Formats: sequence, structure tokens, C-alpha cells
Amino acid sequence: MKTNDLISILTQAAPPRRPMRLGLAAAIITLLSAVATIIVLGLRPGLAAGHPPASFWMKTLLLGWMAVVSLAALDRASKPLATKRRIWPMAALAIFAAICVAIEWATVDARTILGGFLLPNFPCCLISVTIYGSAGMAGFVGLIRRYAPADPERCAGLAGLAAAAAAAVGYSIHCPLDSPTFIVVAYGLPMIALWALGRWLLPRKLNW
Amino acid sequence: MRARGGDAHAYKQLLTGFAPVIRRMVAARVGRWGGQHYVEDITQDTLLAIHLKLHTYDADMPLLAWVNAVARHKLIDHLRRIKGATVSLDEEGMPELVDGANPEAPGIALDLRKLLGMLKPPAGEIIYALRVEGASVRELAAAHGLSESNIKVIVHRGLQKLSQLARAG
Repeated sequence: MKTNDLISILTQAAPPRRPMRLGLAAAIITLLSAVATIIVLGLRPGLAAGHPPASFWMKTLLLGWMAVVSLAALDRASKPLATKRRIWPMAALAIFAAICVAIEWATVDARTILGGFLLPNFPCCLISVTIYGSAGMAGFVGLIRRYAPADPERCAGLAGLAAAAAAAVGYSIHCPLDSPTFIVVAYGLPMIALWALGRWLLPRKLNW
Repeated sequence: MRARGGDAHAYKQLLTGFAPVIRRMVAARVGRWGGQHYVEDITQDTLLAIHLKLHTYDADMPLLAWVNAVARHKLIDHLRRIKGATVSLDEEGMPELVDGANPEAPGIALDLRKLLGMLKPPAGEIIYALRVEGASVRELAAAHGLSESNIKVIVHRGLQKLSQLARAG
């Protein structure tokens, strides 16, 4: 086919439908994760009574911040023209989390903090966030195939990270533990795992 | 951007304007290892990708840089597929589309206007006249009531600023 013929065909063809926005996809992942959590595990006690403690909102802030930052990075990575990476939102989140953890270790007994990891909530957090996040990551990858990532490996990793963070926000309505140390470890590990898994397994799926 | 808004005429102008630019860039690259017969395939692949992925273009970015990125991706993808001779794919080796491109092509003219408009007047006007229209430094000095060395300084600083703007995306 001659190039001019191709141009004529493309000009006459209906413009391709714009894929769903990644932000909307993330909101759906969070919603589905929350619905699955309510059905399978139930709401945490304070939330069920309609009076969640302030620490719950701090946890939601941390996880939501992570979801937004990773989603913004994913959005930039899903385009063919690489743009300048913004380190400061992630750095600010890391500093905020580090301050929360430091305050906790300065004010709360170490045995109380570490005791949270002996409760069944710890494996429950790891497993739930990983499962919900994996489903979300599959959804993200299916969607990003319609985008055009400059670096598929980086994009696949960020898809895993953003999906895990979005799923963690939904799951957090069940977990009654609001310790910053617990949040960083129990929610951070599945995020790192899915980021690594995405980078390792999925770049080929994102070729365009 | 009218082409993205469904204006078929603008869209055709855009694709027709970019086709020779992409072809030239691809030819310069694959010509090094005797792959001229792939030029048209890669050009068409790139045009198809532009059509399918146009929604990933941000209007506040230079269109030419976006097209360049798509073309580069398609070129590398093609080279990888055919497993051709070992070719260095480092960015230094990639010719810039602006070089030798037709500045009147719609997308390029749009980017040029956008970028030159960001410079402090009359730098944009002087650079356009000097580099695109082919005016001489002496003519520009007379037209703007400045010395020739002033014109050269304005052009030098303007190009530096343009380079920074283009790198910043």
C-alpha cells in the first residue's frame, strides 16, 4: 500500500475511541477492593459504628497519597514522550511516613508496635492487598496496552505499584491497625512485590 | 488541536506534512545498514501509531517531539523484530526531525510558533527570519535598528533558551 493511500484511509476512518482514563480505572480498583473487603472481611469496628478514629484518616491519607503519586507517575509513563520525572511527591510522602514512624517509636512501647505483626491482620493485609492489587494490575496492563508507554518495563512496574496502592485504600476499611510502622510494612511489602512482579513479567504485554 | 478534534482536513494535512519528515528520519537511520527497503514500512507503521495513539499527545508539549518519539519507538521495534545487524540505538545516533525538515509543515510550524512565542520579543521574530526565511544578519540589523553583533547575541541567547524549553518538554 502506498503511504498516501494509508493517509487517505486513516483520514476517512473513524477516530479511535479514547481509552478509559487511568484515574478512573484506579477509582474503580479502589471501589471494587472496598466492596470485596466489605463482603468477604467486613468493616473495621469503628467504621462500622460510624465513628472512625483520627488514626484511620491518617492511614487513608498515607495510602491515598501513595495511590495518587504512583498513578501520576503511571500516567506520565504511559505516553511515548518521556517527561521529566518528579521525585518530590514521592520524597515528600517518604519523609511524612518516616516522621510518623519516628513519632510512633518515640511515644509508643516497642512491644506494642511489634505486637501488631503477630496478629492475624498482618498476613491478612499482605494477602488481601496482593490479591486485589494483582487483579488491579491486570486491569491496568489491559488498559495501558491502548496507551503508548515510552519505557514498558518502568510502566509495568508502576502499574503494579499504583494498582496495589489503589487496592490498599479499599482494603484499609477492614484493617483495624493504624500504626504507621504497620502501615509501612504491611501495605508497603505488597506494593513493592507487585512493582517488582510487574517489571519482571509484564513489559512484553505493553509493546505497541 | 483541530486534527484531534475530528477535523478531517486538518488531520490529513497533519499526516501528509509529517510523512516526509518521518520518512527522512527513518531513511537516515536504516540507510546506515542498507535497510532502505524498510523505510516505507516503518513510515507507515509510524503513521498508523500516530493515528491510534493520538490521545497520548498532550497539547502543551511540542507535537514534533511527540511524533519523533513515536517514530523512534517504531523504528527500534522494527529493528528488533527483524533482528537486523547490530545497530547502536543510542539517542545520539538518532537524527533530529527538525534538521532538514520542512518548517512549513503544519505540525512543525505549530511547534515553531509555540516555541518562538515564548521568547522575549523580538528574539522569536529574528530567529524565524534568520533561520527559516533565510534573511541575513545585516538585513535584520537594519530592519530592527540594532547592530549586527546585537542581532547575533539575541539569536545566540534565543537559541539557548529554545534548547532549554525543548528539553524541559
